[in-house]
Amino acid sequence: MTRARLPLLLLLAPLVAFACADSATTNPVRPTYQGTLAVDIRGAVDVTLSPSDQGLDVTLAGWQDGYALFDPAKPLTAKGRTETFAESTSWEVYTAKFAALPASGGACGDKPVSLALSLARRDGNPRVQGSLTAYCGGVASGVPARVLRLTGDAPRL
Amino acid sequence: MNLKVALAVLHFNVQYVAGGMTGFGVPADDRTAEQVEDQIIVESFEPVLDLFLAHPAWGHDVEMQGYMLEVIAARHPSVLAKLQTLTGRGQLEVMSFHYSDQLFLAFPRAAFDRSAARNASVFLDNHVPRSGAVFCQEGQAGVGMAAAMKANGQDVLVWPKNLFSYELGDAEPEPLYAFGDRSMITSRDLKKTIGADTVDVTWSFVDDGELLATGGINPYFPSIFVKSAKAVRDYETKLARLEANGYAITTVSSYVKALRGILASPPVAPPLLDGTWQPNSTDGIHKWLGGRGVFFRDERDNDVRSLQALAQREITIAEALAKRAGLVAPEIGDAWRLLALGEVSDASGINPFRGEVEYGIAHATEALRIAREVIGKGKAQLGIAGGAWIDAADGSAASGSPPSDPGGGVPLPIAVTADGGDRGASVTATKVEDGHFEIVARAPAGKDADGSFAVTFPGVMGDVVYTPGLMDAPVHVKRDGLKFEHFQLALSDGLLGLGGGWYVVKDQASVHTAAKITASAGDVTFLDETAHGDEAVVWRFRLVQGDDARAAKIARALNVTPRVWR
Repeated sequence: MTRARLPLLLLLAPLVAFACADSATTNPVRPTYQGTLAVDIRGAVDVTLSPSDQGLDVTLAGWQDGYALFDPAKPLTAKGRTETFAESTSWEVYTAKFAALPASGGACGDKPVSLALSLARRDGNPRVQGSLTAYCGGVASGVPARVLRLTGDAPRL
Repeated sequence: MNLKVALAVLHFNVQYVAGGMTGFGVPADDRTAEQVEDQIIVESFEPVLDLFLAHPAWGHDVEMQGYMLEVIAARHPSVLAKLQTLTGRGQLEVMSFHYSDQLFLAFPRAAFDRSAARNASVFLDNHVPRSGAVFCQEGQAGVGMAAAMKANGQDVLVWPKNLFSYELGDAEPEPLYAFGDRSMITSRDLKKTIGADTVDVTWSFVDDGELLATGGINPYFPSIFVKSAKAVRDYETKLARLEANGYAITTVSSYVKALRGILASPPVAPPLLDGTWQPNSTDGIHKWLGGRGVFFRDERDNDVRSLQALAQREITIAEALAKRAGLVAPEIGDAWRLLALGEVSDASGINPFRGEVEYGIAHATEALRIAREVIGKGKAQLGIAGGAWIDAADGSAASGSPPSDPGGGVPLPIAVTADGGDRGASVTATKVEDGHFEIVARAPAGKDADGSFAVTFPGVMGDVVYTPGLMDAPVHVKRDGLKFEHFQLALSDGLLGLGGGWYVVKDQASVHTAAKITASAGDVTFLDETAHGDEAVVWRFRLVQGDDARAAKIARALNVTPRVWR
């Protein structure tokens, strides 16, 4: 927010309650994480991050909206990765890419939609935060059609 | 000569509500990012253009980021045509220093350099010339801007008057300063006699441009953020009165050009520290780097800025590796663009709401994802299958083993303290090499979501030693020339002198809050008032003994061009 002229905004501000959270520690054997994340604040999606031989099995299900980019009735599933940083061990980032068919009336028109997930976790806390970014076409780069903000707790099962 | 002018900076920001209004208040006021952007352009920007089209003799300065021009060009061609007409006449000058309204003083200069290059292209592509004068988002100003201005063909910085007086007291500024090999003025009214000449400057408007044509209403109130004919008329009347009183309604560039005819050898600008335009009400840059606003339960300043620092490192590594590997990776440019957008100041201040905080985080994680993917491609191109050490300075990569455990702790070399409130905190030290330690401050998750975290390093009085934004090496600023009680520094490469041969370097990917220095003591405090007490927190610093060169080398290796294992 650029300015501090907010007396009325105080009345409008949403009341956000934070759930109490348990501290988690990093385990050499990667656990499965699961939780419900907010999507652009008003929406929601269930996320599951399960380690597998090939990396990370990622599922995004229970969409309330497809944002005219994908079919919300169908879970998004993909093989993903857990990215770590040897010099910054506080951070873990979970990534995955999904493909969606063209959605009529959507931002990508008749082009397929490439979706990229990137979720960061800090200091082993339950909270993850990041994005599901939509690109028009078959490549997950360029100027995004939309950057959906994802946040919430996805603790270990 | 009697130089009598009325000047203005209408500072526009199409990212005023970065990411849009969805989730801010009642659903009826939800607006997408595009809707908010369009409303800013139609309701607040176009009326200003119309005002000046109606008064061809008047000149003015507007300021905007390149991203705003992109939006205008993409969705408002008639507005672009008006802007081209006014700039073509030299009547309206567009100040623009950055592509996104990003907190550029807080990050290593690579992010700004990529942003500035993109910005220049946007203006060139859309046939809108940029002014030689510069004003920035949040009124960011710093001495390192001089070289960047030169590189971008800009020559006059408008230093915010409140930042000037916060740093130097109430001394009346000179009309014109030498600022490196550029020039600087302040945004303060002044009257000055110089020999046989007089200079009389008044500023008719230096504020958010969105407020001018809407009667002071900002875009957070979408139902009433609309053009006000009365507001525009009132400003028109104000300018007409100034004109009637002998003031030329003109641009900053025109004024400075005339001023140089009077002041051929302006004095050198006094010592100044990096800062923002309203330091009294925002506690300087702390509001964007650890200071809480009214929606503090949703704020996450340190998460936002440290995650962006992590992303910037990753892009820097990816870019260098791709170049070394001969890999054509246009997506690196996409990642820099996303990072620039995410580094928008509004993601962590003044009073960011949840959507803006998450905008900053979401863009950073996606930029990081792209960079990590390019690193994988670069390694494959070089035939590296497993882990490798990659040097961001030159892109060199070599297979190897992951870093070993840093080993056991050592006693704290100096009395560093941490304050985690009710949940407690601890500080440990590990020796990296002689006179070089890693300092780690920790607090466990507590029960109360409200929380803060602070780390203080003892220091001794002496010069303020830090690397200003957009510079590559530390500078010394005499503390006794500064008039503030305390000051908050962003630390673009993380480095700050503690005196007595000690330096602290914050690991920006871990802790990226402002450093609070005072005029009366040498201690330095990093404070995050937006920390969440129900989450564990770990902050990492380096403590270095030696001289500026050694500390700067370690800061660069940590935050600017690291050598990492991937």
